[in-house]
Amino acid sequence: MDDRLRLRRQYDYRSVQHDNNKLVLALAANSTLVVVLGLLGLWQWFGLALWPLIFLCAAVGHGPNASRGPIRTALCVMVGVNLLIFAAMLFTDRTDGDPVLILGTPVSTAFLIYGIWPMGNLIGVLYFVMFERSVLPPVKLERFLADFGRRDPLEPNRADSDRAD
Amino acid sequence: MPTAAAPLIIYCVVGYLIVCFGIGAWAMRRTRSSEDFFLAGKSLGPMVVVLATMSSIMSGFGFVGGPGLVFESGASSFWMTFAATFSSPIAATMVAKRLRLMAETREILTLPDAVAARYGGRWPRFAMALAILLGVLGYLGTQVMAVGVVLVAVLNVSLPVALLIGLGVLAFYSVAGGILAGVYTDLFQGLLMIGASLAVFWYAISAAGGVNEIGTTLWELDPTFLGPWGARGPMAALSWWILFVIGGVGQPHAITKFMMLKRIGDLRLAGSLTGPSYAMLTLLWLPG
Repeated sequence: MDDRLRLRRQYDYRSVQHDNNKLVLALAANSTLVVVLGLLGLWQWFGLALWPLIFLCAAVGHGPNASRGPIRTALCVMVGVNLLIFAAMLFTDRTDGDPVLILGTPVSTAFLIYGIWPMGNLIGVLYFVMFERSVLPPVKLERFLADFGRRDPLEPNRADSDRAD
Repeated sequence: MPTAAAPLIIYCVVGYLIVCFGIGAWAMRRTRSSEDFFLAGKSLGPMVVVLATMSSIMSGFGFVGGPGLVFESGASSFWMTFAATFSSPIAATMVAKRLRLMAETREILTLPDAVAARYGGRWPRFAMALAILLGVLGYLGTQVMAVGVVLVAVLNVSLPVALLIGLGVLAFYSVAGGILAGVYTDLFQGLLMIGASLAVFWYAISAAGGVNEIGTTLWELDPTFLGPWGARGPMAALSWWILFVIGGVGQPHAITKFMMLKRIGDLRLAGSLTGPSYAMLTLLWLPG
């Protein structure tokens, strides 16, 4: 392999590892915070801390691209919007007095059904839109297959060979 | 005769069991290698994977037990089912791509195979197999119980007999036809579930006089039932939420289906549509 190419790959690898490490550290810190808040019974803070954790999981799936560019912006906006909806749900959560019903549910539950529930689909939309750019770019796919070698579809499985023996 | 044992319902259930048998027999003829048995020969299109994954996530636990859970704990249970809208695309982003790529380059038939290919050695494989066994044991028990409960209500037989009938059909199609039979029965069940969810949603709302009528009645009975945390309270609801969002990402019966895709590029559609399609099934819970 050309030395320059090898060095570039090595550089890419280190850069990718660095970005992944940052994400994993953030995930570990957020998970610890969630566990501590849960054990302390601070449910409002526990609920608020869940949103960054969920979107960090989505970020880990996008790998190093999640630390920069449009994916980082999109994920940050999604966390922000979810936190706002969740906070609005907390503030409107009342079980006394006359109910104000929105499509059959109190305002706070309406935030859950018509606000939080559909928001998950945005992660799917981001996945669909960024698939070729971030999730699985054709260049990366080719490099992966070149590095690890595609299996011959006609090659029998080990389990079948063992059975034949 | 119990209401559920009306002749039309019995015909439908018997017809359903016959279709499952038929799918098992059809898949048996198409299963020739271990890759066919465990991965459906990596021959599935994205929509088959979407619908099969959707119905296996919802499963008997959600479809039979879900409305009962809403009846018992109100909006608390919404946190459980709404989680799939988040966990499905996260599973696609975090896990599905890696599994499908590994299946392209290594001999991987199961999740323990994938872990062994990634980390090497016997212990990771053993640990994964043990985690799956412990994780799905209770889950499988719930599925079998769901079949038993439905058959007891419809066929008016004892629970052990109902469990034997359910397990017999399940054992036939999964052993004879492998995962191909499993996927196509999931697909068949998924289509039935979508139709049933939409029908029950509209019927329940129109029978009760509209969503506002349902809301007002429930509010008068117990306001906490209709509040966002339901009868179980905020800590239980939020714990269910994180358990089902993060736990849902690793469901073995769901993520292995992505390894069965014919083309790697099909991950794009399959990964993004599972969440919205599951949301249609959730309509069954809402008027619960």
